[in-house]
Amino acid sequence: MLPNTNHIQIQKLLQGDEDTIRLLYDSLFPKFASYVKKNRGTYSDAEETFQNALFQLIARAKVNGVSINTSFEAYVFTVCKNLWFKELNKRKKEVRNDGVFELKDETEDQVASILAQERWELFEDMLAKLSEKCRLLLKDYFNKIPYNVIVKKFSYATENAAFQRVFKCKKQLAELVKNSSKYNQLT
Amino acid sequence: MNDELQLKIEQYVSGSMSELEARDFEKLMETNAELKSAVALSKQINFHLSETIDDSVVPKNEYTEKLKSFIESEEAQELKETLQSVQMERRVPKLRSKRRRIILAAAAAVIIFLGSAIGLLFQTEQGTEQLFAQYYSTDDLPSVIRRGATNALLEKGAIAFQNENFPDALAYFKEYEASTEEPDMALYLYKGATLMELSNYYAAIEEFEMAIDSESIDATKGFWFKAMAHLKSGDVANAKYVLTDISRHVWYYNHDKAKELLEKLE
Repeated sequence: MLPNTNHIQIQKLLQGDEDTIRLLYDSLFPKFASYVKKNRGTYSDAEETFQNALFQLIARAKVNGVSINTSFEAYVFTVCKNLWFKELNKRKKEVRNDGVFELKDETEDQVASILAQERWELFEDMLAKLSEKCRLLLKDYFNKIPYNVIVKKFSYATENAAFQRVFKCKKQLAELVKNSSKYNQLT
Repeated sequence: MNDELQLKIEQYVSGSMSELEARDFEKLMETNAELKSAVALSKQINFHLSETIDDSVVPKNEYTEKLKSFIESEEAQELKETLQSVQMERRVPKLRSKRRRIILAAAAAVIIFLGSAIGLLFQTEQGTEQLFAQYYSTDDLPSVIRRGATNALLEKGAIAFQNENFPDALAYFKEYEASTEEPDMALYLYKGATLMELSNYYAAIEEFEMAIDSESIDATKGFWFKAMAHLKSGDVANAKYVLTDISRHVWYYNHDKAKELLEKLE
């Protein structure tokens, strides 16, 4: 029996259904290729990333199942986008290290990307459970908006009060993540 | 875990501990598995919220072993080959696909223009003002501070903007623009948003178009702000035109919001 996959397209992908793959190449790949080209990549980068994203999605669905709360197309696009973002970060890191890059086993690399995507989804789900104020506050704090701006925007009495609130919101988020059944698999 | 220890985790993760303190903390981590995993989680949260690379090591557990064994299986290799063969098959000549896109885009533009012109007749000024207030948020602007220490003028401009001191913000942005040949794309969004606050919509839209052309990761935000500028100026037809464009591209910034707003404008 197939693991929990709530979208028929994922089940089809698992069966290697060529029509489903063709449909993704016709409807989604051109958009993704355009996104990659606008974001420091080439057509070949887009092809490689798209292949890897589909393969990782299949592997994940096969082993653990994938549950999607949005449209299949939007979901696959997010997976592709995150994978390209990861690749760009990796390239930046290589530039900083004067072109020296870590040799990683390909399988290990695929697993790392699958786990990174799963963590991304888990953190997004848990962030959605926080209050809107907490979410906005964390967003501003991690976007390095200065404390004096945060204090004014969120009407805190002092910068220390703002820091305490950031601390509590992050702690709340950490608790939510830690208590989720999924997190243990990912660490 | 008590708040004092949590605070130390934050200091360690953010790099604000002294070298000596950090060494002591690392020693403590070696003997305290709970602390070690709390530090790892704190780092992962920071990676997520600051949109930087999550380079966590792959843990050894039942799940990751199962993943590895599937990836190396014959079944997985066959699926990989299927993916590759479909990729080869779907490589279409660029000219044909480009020409088709141009024709489709032109047809869509005509339909949208006609629809917008009719819609404009029924749109009240009060309605667009309310929708602008509901959908416009400065939270959609990107961060400027994490982009490097050389952007002091841009940062000052962003702070003046947040403090609603728009003339000063504009002056800082112009000074920053004059000081560099390759401005951070955030400049265009902030400058455009400032001009919009100063009711200079035409110039604001030009800035948002610069953001769109910047090929940056945040470039599609330019479309959203352009739609907002049209909406604020009362130009519903053009707002709808831009929103339609956003709603047709699932990866554009605020894709879902654009669809929702478009429905309200219809």
